[in-house]
Amino acid sequence: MLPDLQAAFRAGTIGRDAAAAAALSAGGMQNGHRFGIYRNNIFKSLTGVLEAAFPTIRNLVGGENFAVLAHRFVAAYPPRQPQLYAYGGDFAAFLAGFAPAVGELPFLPDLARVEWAVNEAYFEADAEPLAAGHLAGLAPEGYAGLRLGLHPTVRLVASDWPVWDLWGLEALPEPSQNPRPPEKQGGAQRVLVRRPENKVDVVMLTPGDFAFVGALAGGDTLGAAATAAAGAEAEFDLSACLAGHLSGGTFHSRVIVDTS
Amino acid sequence: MKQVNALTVAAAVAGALSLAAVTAATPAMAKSVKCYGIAKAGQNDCGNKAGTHSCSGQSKVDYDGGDWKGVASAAACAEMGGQTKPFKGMNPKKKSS
Amino acid sequence: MALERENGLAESFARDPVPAAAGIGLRHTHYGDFLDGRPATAWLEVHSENYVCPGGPRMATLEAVRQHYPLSCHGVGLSLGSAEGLDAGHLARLRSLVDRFEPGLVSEHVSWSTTGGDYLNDLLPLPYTEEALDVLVGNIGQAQDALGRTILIENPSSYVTFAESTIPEWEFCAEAARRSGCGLLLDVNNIHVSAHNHGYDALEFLNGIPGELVGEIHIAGHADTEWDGRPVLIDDHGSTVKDAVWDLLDTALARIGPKPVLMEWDLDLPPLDILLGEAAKAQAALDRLAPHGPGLGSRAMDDAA
Repeated sequence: MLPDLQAAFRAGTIGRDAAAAAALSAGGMQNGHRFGIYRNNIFKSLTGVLEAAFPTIRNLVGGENFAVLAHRFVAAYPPRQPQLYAYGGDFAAFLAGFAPAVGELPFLPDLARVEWAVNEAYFEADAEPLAAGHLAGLAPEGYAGLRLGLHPTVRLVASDWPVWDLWGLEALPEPSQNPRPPEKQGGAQRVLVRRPENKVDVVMLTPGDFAFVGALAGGDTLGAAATAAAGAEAEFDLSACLAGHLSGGTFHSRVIVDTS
Repeated sequence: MKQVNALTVAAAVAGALSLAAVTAATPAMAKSVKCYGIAKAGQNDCGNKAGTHSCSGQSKVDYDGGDWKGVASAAACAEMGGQTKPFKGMNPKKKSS
Repeated sequence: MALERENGLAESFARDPVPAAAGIGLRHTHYGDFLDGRPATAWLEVHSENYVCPGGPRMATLEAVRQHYPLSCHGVGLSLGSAEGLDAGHLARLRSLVDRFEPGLVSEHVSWSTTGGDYLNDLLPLPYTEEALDVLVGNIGQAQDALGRTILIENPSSYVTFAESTIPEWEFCAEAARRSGCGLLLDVNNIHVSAHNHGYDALEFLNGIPGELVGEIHIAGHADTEWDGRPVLIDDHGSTVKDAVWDLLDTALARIGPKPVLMEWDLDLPPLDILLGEAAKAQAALDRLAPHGPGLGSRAMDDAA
């Protein structure tokens, strides 16, 4: 019956069930030796989809290792929808649980979150970013009560690893011959991703700036977000931070004036 | 936590608006991917290298995934954390994908 | 909806059905060619699943290019042969695509991809049984209702067949079309590949297809290779069209008359000129049908250029 046949195809391909594949090939299938063509197609095509979404990870671990990751991921998290631009959102969670890779390169899950944020921003809905002119008509005493909505393409990722430095690398760094000064060495980094128009920006934020945008994302007023930012970073400069986000297109053109 | 008062916010916003008006202040620490010119491959296109759909059969070799072979010395990893040594080869201006 | 569009495009879309001429697939490697200029092709086909995202450069590109070419939306993910039925969410996404771009043709495959909610990213073969025919016909009906229009279904290429099959592939496809009211997308490369892989006569397939049901034809390259030490043709869309497929196209056109012919190329895409060169050969095949008349195809080519 058709439901059984289709379930057996699934088991013999992404299910990695060799017995199911053998039974299918041997029973009732002509040219059953070619069943593996379908298995290859499914894994190889989805590996290609993941390589496109996670190019930095692909480069850092190499093609063979990436194929291993992709193969295991496809088996554990097969696509649930046919539009494959949206496939890979669980890759970070998968990597976090894949001991061989994360034991060696513990930053991989967070790097995957950054790459997925870039992928999402690319395909997210278009919208007009907030420009300085949009605020021109508002009274300054009302600024603290503004709720600045974020542009729909904005994504935030915080990591204990230097994920902004890592993103876009084409290979793992060699052991250094020209040491950078200690204050420039990696560590925790916070990243904002956005696509206000036709370019995806990957921006490193200070702790205060990250807290500020995070608070706005949570629906806080400008005043409350500024307070959160000042709490996260003593030297937080609200004016410079806002100027950067206004020119960079972090906010949505819709502004809500607090009436409370 | 110390509250940031409305006057401070008003002054900061006013400052930001004038700043934004005169500069295209791009944050110093930004990298970007241009979407046009390096368009992403269609994930549902058949056989495309960066996003294959399998209306095309592909490999002559049965594909079983294999095992993680490891990527580098532990030193490289330690460098990534920036805890023991810095790392080079980083180029903040570099574009990707 | 269509009539509410402000730019007046809707009316022109409604007036630009896909012509009985040669077209090509629009792929990302050629976006630049189409954004910078107006390459001479009578129409374009895209894979529907690539254009169901909310926004971004890909949608903007199709929006821009659509204004200058008739369009066909060719689905690769609906899984019309799924025993468990269709994904209502995906049908809704496709409906949005169709409403926005108003393609002259919408097509899918006689195959399946989804089981247990998992999408196996391939066009997998169906056993040709009454049971599978019922499933297919039911799903096509659901799709046509959801999209508010008729679709075409494409005969697949395949590598295995099933002992339980009782209906020849051509009859299975034709009967599905008759029962559901949809049309056929005749892929002559797939006929050649499957006939070779399964040892039947491609002409028998062609002769079993009612020409009046055919709304579009596909041609493509395939790979002549080996699997497990034995020969097999793989439908990889990765090269120029083989001579045997050109011959089969001539035979098909002579039998069923002029139709839109798509030159498909997906793996290792060549520069646009080479792709257009293959399409030009298909156009020549169409033009040979009526050497003395004003061919539909050449007129459409002139309009697009």
